[in-house]
Amino acid sequence: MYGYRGKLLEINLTDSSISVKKLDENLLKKYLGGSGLGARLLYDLTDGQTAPLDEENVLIFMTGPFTGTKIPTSGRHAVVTKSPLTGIWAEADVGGNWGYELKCAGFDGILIKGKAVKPVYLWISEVGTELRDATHLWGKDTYEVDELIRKETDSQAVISSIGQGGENLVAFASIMTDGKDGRAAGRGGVGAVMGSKYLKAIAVRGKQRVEVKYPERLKQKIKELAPEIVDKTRMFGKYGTSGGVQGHEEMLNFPLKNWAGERWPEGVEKINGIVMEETILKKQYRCKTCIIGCGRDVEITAGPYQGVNGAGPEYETIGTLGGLCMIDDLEAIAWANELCNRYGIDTISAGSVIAYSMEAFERGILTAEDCDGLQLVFGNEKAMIELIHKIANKEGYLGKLLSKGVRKAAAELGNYAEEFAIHVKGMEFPAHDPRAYNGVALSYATSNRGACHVQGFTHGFEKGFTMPELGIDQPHPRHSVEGKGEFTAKLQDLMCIFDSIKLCKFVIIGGVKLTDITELFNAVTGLNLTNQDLIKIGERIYNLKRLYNVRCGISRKDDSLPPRILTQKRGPNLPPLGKMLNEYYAYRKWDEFGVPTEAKIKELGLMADYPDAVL
Amino acid sequence: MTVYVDFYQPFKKIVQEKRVSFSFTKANTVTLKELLEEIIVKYPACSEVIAAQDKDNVEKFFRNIAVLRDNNFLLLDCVLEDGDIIKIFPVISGG
Ligand code: SF4
Repeated sequence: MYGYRGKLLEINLTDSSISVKKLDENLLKKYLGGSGLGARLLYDLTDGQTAPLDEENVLIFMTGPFTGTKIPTSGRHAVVTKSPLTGIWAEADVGGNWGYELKCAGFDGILIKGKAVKPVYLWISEVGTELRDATHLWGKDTYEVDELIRKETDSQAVISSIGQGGENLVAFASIMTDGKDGRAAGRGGVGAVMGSKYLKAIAVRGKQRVEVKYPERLKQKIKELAPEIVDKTRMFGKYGTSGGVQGHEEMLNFPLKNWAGERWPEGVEKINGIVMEETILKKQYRCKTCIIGCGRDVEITAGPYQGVNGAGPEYETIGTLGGLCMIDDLEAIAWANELCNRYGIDTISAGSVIAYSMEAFERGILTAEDCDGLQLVFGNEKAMIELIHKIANKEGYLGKLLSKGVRKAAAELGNYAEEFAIHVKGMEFPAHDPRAYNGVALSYATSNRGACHVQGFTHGFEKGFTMPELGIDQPHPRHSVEGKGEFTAKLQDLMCIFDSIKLCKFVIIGGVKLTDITELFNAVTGLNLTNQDLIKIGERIYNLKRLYNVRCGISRKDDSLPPRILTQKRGPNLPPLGKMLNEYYAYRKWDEFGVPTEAKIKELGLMADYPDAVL
Repeated sequence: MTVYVDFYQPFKKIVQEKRVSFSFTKANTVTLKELLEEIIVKYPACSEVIAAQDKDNVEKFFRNIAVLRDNNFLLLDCVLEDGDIIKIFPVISGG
């Protein structure tokens, strides 16, 4: 089928076997690619009993039909597995150049099974695919690995790798791609699964062009969309994701002091994208085919954080390593960000567990002895940085404790420590306060990977975006309750399309609508889908991920928010979760426990599947 | 009528003040669009910082900013009221 290679590279690390499987066309039509197709594979290959860090878990890298084409912002891929952080569905969406390169090397995705006996890396090129010894790379960080592997293979190879965080099985280890102009498959501990398999890296170099069915139609459509995307994202490109820090703080959305703070205008004035642009920004960078360019390349040439040189902190990172920890030094945050990227640990979870430990210390639940003498108080940037080293290397009592993620750490600490552990289903919150947007509250509670702001992207549509094709022709008032269930579910289904075809959600800022996506999709594949067809696929994918979680024991009891968020006001609002959840389940046709009904499963065609198509 | 505008970075630096008042002779019919037109006449660098070639285009300016009143986002045709405090940021879609 056009837009696809129709090929899945399967690597079994246990016996070092490499094979190529044909991807069934019907399967592609039903699940598109990316995390949609990943969901089908994970559902078929693992189950509720699969231990995330055992040999039986699989790790899936998947591109989509847009990857490898010229569609702006389509240089992306998904990483899918069962999460060691949450024990349920994990997906991490990542930009950069790697997905594009894999597609040009002739594959839609890679399925990693088994476990190697010693460290290896995978090298995929026009010549073939081989597993290589990576003993000499074990213990090295992702920046070093990127350089070393490119020297050993091809200077233009693109590398996805783990750092020490993944090797040490930190529950929120990431997989970094593109070296120091890096992009992270950050969430859910996908890097720990890679580490558990002794797979240090995957290097790819591909040169084959991806064929689309109607190249001229595609060209015209891109030509039509591009000027508006560029026009509407000028500020976003200029100041990056963190250009909005002050606005988010004003909206009581920017996280503070382990989610207990109210306002901090004097702090955020120092740690935002505008300050970054005026101080440490070296240049913008962008994922493959992107015309927005939100990536920040920063450099610090003097002072205590001298040596920082590469990807700068994103909004989420400034929110967690900055706001949650009450650190108002942008250079310290940039250094902490670089450490996380080098070690390969998720900046969101890292900032969250550190902020959590600061509160536990201030409350006397963690003692100075527990913390190896660290003065773990809010605002102590040195302690924050020291903790990143300890977590990535699982050093000392505290490093080991926090490397498990906030849910497990709180459970081990006991007492009332779970009261202020901020997560959903074990996933630490990203940097958006659910009390600021009811849609975010519902989205965090129901997102399949645990607390997530991009599985619904609802906050965007509670601020200014519209999607008339879904009946969202005005922004949804952020504190409204009525209709929030339907609103959130529809957007989650739409986001499944983005995550499966592989398109960056930031094009929504650039005015891209569902109709545009459908037209692009049809031009690439030659299919003739309607908006409704595409949304139905999104709904199917969302439900399949939910069914996976149901198999892992997830139900309504888990679709919740932490006590602090439900009971302590920040501004005027507390999200009325129960009410919104009832509406959400009713709209989704899930039962009172949050389980998709048989009628819904049947309607979505999830019964009559093709489980044997690729296996 | 008079409305007050709080400018946040990068606009604050251009305007050199956090809060600026804008007075209009007509009452209660002033839209956000008209206010933004005033702003880019008085402080052209505010829209220039977004796109120099389109510095007079209020719609393009609006596309790249977020405007709040009482913590609610405003659309271009919103009618402003005497005494309103309006806050202007770069578009805040970070995530
Ligand atoms: S907008 Fe940013 S994250 Fe999205 S594709 Fe472009 S550079 Fe990558």
